[in-house]
Amino acid sequence: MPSAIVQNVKKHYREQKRTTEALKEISLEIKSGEFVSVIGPNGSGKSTLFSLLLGIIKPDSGKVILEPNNFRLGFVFQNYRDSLMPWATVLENLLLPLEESHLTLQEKQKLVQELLAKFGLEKFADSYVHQISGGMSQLVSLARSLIVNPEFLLLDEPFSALDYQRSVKMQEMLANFCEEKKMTTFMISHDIDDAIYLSDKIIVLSGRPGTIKEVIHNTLPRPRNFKIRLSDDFDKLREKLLRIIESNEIAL
Amino acid sequence: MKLLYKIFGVAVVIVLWQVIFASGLVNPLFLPSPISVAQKLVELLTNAVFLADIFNTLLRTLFGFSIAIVLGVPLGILMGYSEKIYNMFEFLIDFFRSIPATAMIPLFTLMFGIGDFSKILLIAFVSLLIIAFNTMYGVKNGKKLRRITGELFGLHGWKLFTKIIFPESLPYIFVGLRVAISSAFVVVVVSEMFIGTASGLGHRIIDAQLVYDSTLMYSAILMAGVLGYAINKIFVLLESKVVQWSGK
Repeated sequence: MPSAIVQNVKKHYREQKRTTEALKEISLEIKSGEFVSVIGPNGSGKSTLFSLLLGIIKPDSGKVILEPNNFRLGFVFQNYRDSLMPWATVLENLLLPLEESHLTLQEKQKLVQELLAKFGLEKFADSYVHQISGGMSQLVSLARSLIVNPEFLLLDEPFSALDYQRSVKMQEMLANFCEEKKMTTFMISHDIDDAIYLSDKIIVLSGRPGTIKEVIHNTLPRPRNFKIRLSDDFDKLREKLLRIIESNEIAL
Repeated sequence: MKLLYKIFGVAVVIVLWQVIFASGLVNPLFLPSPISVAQKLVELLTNAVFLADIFNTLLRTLFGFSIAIVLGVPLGILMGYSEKIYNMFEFLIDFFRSIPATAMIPLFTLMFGIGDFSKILLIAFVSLLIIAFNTMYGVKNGKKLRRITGELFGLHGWKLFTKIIFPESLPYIFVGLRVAISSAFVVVVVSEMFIGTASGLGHRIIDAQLVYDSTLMYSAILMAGVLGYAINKIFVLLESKVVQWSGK
């Protein structure tokens, strides 16, 4: 499974005459098979970090090293709706990442049917994106990220549009998936509980410009299930994170 | 209920028309009765010459419009894709698009004669500018994230174009087609009013006016209205079927 190293990365954006410093000297490591979450206030550069790891933007200075060079990539953008194809049905959207694969159509369709069932999306297979709710669209986006059996999975707030019950269920499924496949995962979250439940490592970013405030290693046992959310260790970790976040300055 | 209001609106205008006619305030040469216009229209619909007028007008529109699609869509795509081609043509197209289409009729008549060829070329020219411009906007203004998504899925070149960029630009292309066909229809009717046309709705309207047959003139104008409305509705319907996601 791939690993990622972000080394002294700086990134700023320039729009008209305004310069915004998004990331200030960030260094972090995502080990092979590790689940790393990032939490931090708005404007702390979380999505910039996400784009850097995806390779869709380049750092001003520093390096982003992904090893090996070639791996199967899954991703969910924060703006999941804009990354789905509105002219295609849910089924066709799920087939899109397999466009360049060598699987036969039958194999592809089998994969899609399995995922549709797993995500409870079977009855929406022939619906268009504008015909389903925001939560369902996010599920489609999440399902699409898994269809390639990713080795590196990048998720930007993948549960933000889901109701609590579904969010918990999807996290359980994702945790199982990650534990089974041992893929490397990087997730941005606004929800402390999600981050604790899923991650091996939680990175807390400070406000703008983004710097790393703290890195927490999560040693809660795996495999994880709903009960772990009720444990004392989970509570302790939550308290620790809340204290760190509380001391964070909010970027305005 | 909506339809009822529409019918009511039309009925109000017709009644008002009849009242003005019956009052005798306006010379019937300027305003014939709605009943005589309706009778004439029904009569014309079984008249082979008038049907040939409609057919020829539609045929010219269709020919010119088809040429415009075949040339305009690829040109728009190239302009959307290549900054160089965009820089080369953007000003020219925008400039010619700004010239009122009907002002070009004398020029086209001078260059290509008074026959159908000249009319069809003018329709093609006018529609092409609109279609190319809208297609270009469609390619340029597509959601960046969708393109990135496609690229991250390993799509490049032709596949990226057919799977992401072209479908993304379709709503813009359809707006272009709808605006272009309406403009094409205006151009064809006006161009038919000039010398050298033996058949066509524009020719019928101007002919009727020249011989003071105002009932015929009103009927032909109404027919042109019905056709223009129908063409627009067909394109709206087509748009809602083909690019059903547009605006949602």
